[in-house]
Amino acid sequence: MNATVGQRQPPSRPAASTAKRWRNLSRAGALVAAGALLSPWLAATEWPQLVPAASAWVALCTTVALRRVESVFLVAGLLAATLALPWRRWFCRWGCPVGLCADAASRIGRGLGCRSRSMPPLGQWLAIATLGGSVVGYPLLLPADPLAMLAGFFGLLAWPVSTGAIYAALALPLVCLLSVLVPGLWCGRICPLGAMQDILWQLGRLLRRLPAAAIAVAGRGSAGGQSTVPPGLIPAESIATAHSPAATLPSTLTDGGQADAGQTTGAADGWPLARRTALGTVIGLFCASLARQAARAESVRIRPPSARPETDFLGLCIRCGNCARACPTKIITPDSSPPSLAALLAPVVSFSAGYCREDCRACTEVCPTGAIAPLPGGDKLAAPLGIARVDMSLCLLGDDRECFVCRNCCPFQAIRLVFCEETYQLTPQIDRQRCPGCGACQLACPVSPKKAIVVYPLG
Amino acid sequence: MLWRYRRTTVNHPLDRRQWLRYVWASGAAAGLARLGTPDSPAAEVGEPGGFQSSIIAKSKVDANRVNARLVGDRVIQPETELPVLHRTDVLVVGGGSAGVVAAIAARRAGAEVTLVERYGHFGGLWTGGLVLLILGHIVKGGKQVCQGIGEEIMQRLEKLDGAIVNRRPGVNPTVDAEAAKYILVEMVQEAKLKVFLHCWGVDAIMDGQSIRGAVFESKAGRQAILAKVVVDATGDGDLLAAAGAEYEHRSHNVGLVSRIGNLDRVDKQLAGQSPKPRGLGGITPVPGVNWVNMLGPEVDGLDIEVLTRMELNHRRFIWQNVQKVRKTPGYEKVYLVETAPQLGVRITRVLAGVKTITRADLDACTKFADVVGVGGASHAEHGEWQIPYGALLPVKIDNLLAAGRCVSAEMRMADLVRLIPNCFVTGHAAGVAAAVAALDGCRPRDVDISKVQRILRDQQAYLG
Repeated sequence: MNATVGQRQPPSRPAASTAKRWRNLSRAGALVAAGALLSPWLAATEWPQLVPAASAWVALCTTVALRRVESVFLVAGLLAATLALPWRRWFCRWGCPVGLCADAASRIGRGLGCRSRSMPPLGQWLAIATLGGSVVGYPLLLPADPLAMLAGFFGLLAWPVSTGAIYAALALPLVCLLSVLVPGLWCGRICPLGAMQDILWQLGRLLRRLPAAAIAVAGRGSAGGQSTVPPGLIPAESIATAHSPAATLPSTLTDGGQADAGQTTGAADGWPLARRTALGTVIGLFCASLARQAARAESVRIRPPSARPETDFLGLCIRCGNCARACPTKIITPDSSPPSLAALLAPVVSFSAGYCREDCRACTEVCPTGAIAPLPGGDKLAAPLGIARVDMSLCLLGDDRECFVCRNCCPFQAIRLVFCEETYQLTPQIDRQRCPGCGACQLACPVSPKKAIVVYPLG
Repeated sequence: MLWRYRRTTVNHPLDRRQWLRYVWASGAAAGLARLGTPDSPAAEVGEPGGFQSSIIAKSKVDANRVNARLVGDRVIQPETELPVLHRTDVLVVGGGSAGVVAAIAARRAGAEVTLVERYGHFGGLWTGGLVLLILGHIVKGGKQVCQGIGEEIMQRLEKLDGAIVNRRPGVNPTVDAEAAKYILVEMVQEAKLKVFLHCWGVDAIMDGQSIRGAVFESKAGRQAILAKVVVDATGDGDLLAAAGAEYEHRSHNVGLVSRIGNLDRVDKQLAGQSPKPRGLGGITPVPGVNWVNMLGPEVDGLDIEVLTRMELNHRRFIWQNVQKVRKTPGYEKVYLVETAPQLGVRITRVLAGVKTITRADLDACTKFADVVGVGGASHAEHGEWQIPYGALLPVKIDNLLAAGRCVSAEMRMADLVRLIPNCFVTGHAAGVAAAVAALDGCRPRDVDISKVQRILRDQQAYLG
C-alpha cells in the first residue's frame, strides 16, 4: 500500500479521469495485497498486522495510548499520517481498499437514484474523541477503522468460521450498504480514518503557512499553533476543494467545515477545527475515562496469551481478527456473546477444539495495536491466559475413578495429584507458578459436557 | 478330593451361587460324582493313609539342601546347582493380561511355549486385582484399536452369560473377573500351553549378555526353565531387572480394588433424601454388585514394607467406608463382597528400551516402521498411537522381550501403556516376535520385523 506513496495526485483538472483510473487501480492493488496478507494460506507470520497498522488513525491512537511505537508495522501508519500532512486524503485516494468498495457501492446507489445527504462530520468527532481517549490509554472507537473492518471481513477465510467471525465480517458489507443508500456518506462523513487525514492535512496547511520560526512550536501542540494562523483561510480552501475533481471522494467532508464556519461568529470564526479538536479531545478524554471505569469489570473471559489487562485490552483491541486468523489451533474467536458491550467481538479463547500450544506465539506476532503484547521469548508462563481449576464434584478422581489424563497431558507439568491419608482422596492440584492456562487439561478432560478442570481468567 | 470338583467346574460357566449349590448337591453323593479330570495325576499318588489324605512320602528329610548360611552377621547364599524343570522355545514369565496373550500368540505362531504364573489364576491385575473396567481399547471418535487376541477374549466373554456389560462400540466395557479367569484357562488349554502356576520367577539365567531361561521359586523349591527367548510379562519387570537390563524405577499410586453387593436392594426413596455416599463404584456384570476403584497414595511398589502397609491400610479403609455407606439411609443392605486378592500396583519398573513410547509421538501421530501394535486412550481423549517394536527390546540384554506395563515408555505415557487392552497389544506383539526369533534361531533384536507384522496381522492384530 505504501508503494503508492510516490505517485502524487495530478493537480490539474483535465487529467482527472486518467488520475481516477490510476487511483482505482492503485486501490484495487491495495485490496489484493491486503487480501493476500490476511489470507490464511499466503501470509507470512507477522505480516497480517500491516493491514490495520497502515491506518494513520490506528497508528496515531495506539502510539498515543501506549506512549510508544509498539510494533514496527505501526511505522507504516505513522508514515501514512505524515504523508497526509501535505497530501490531502492521499490514502483515501490511492490506498484505501474499503474506500474503493464504498465508492463502487456509492455509484450503484446513485444509479438507483439515492441521494447524498447533509450530515455533521461524525468522522472528525470519532477521530478526535478516540485520539482524546488514547491519552488515557483507552482509544474508544478504534474498531471503526476501515482497515480493521477489512481485516475482520477476511476473518471469514479462516476455518472454521465462528458466529463472532461472521459478526466481525458484517462491518464491511454494512459500510457498502450505507454507501448504496446514502452515496458518499461513509467516506465523507463517517470514516474516522478519512477524517483523521483531513485533520492532518489542515494541520499540515497551518504548518506550511507558519513562519519558519513558528514551526518548531506548532509541531508540538496543534492548538497553540493554530492560534497564530490568520483567520479565514480554512473555509476558502474548503470551498475550493469541495468541488475538487475527485467527485467520488469525500470532498463533502470540508462542507462540514464550511457549514461550521458559516455558523460560527465572533472570536471563534474560522476556527471550527481548533475548537472541534479541543472539544473533541476533552469529550474523548471524559468518555474514555467513563468507559474505562465502566469496563473495569472483573475479567470473565480468557484472552489470548500476553493480552494486556482486560480494560486496556478492550480499549486497544481494534477487532481486526488477526489473532484469530493466526492461531494454528483455532481457539481464538471474536466474542459474539460478550459480558458487556465494551467486549463485543474482542478475541476470546475457548478450549473446545484445541489448546494454546506451548511452542506457539502466533497471535502475539500479528496484533497491530499491542492489545496483545509481543512475547519475544515465547515464555507462556510470563504471559498466562488464565489458571486451571478443578471442580472435585465433577472430577473422576472425586469418585475414585481411574483417570490421570490432565496430569499426563499437561505440557508444563503443573498438575500434581495429592493423596489425603484421612479421606483417601486423590486430588489434582495446580501449581500456580507453572500453569500458563494453556487449556491442554481442559481440552483433554474426559468429563463432559461440563469439564472438571477449567481454565479461569486471572484476576 | 474337593479340589477336583473345583477343577471340573472350570469348564462350566457357573456363578458362585450356582457353584455352591452344585458343591452341596454333589457333596452328598461324593463317591458317585467322579467327573472326568483326564489330566489329573492325583489318583495315583501315594497310598491310602487315613480318612482324608494320603501319604506321599513317609518321614522325609530334604537331604543335600544347600541352605543360606550365617557367616558372622551376614547371610550368605552359597552357589548351588538347580534342577532344570523344563526346556522350551518361548518362556513367558507372568500370566497376566500381557503374559497370557503373549503365550497364546507365540504358540499360535508355532513355537513351544511355557507360561509361568505366580498366582493360581490367569489375568493378573485384571482378574486378581479386580480391574474390571476395560479402559484403553478405544480412541477419540470411538474406534476400537485393541484387536487380535485381546478382542478374541472380549468376544468369548460376550458369548458367556453375565460375563461382560457395556460391550458396545465406543464404550469401555466391564467384565466379571471369574468369567475372565475361566476364559483365559479355556484359551490357554486350547492353545496347549505348558503352564506352571504358583511359580514366582526370581532370577534370570544368564550367558553373558543373553538370557537363557529363568529360575522359579515355588513350594517345590528353586527350579530352572531353559528357553530360547524369554518374555518378561511380570508387570514389575522382575526378569528384566534380574537379567541386568536397564530400567527406570518409578513410584505410582497403589490402591486396592473391592466389590460391594446388594446395590439392587438400595431403597431409592430413602437414598434420594441424603447425599450419595462416596465409594459406590461402577457396575459389573453381576446384578447388584459394583466394583470400587481406589487410587491410593503414590509409593514405591517394590518396597515390601510399603506394600504391606498398603494392604493393611487399604483393607481397613475399605471396610470402614462400606460401614459408612451402610449407615447412609437407604443403603443399609450394601455389603462388602471382597477386596481384591492382588494389590493394585500401577507402575514400578519400566524398561529403558531401544525405543521409548513418548507423548510427543502420540501428539504427532508418529508412524513407526517397526510398529507392532496400536494403543488406545484411557477415556477416548486422544487418537491412536503406535507402539514400536523397539519399546519391547532392552538396549543390551539379548533374548529378552518386555510385555505389558513395563515396556519402555516415558512417565506420562506409562498410564496408557499399563491399561489392560494396551497390555493385550504389547503382549501379542512380544509373543509373536519371541516365536519368530525362537523359530528362526535369531536374537529378538535381529528378527525379521515384516514377518512379525505379517503374523500379527494374520492373527487379526491392528497395526494402524
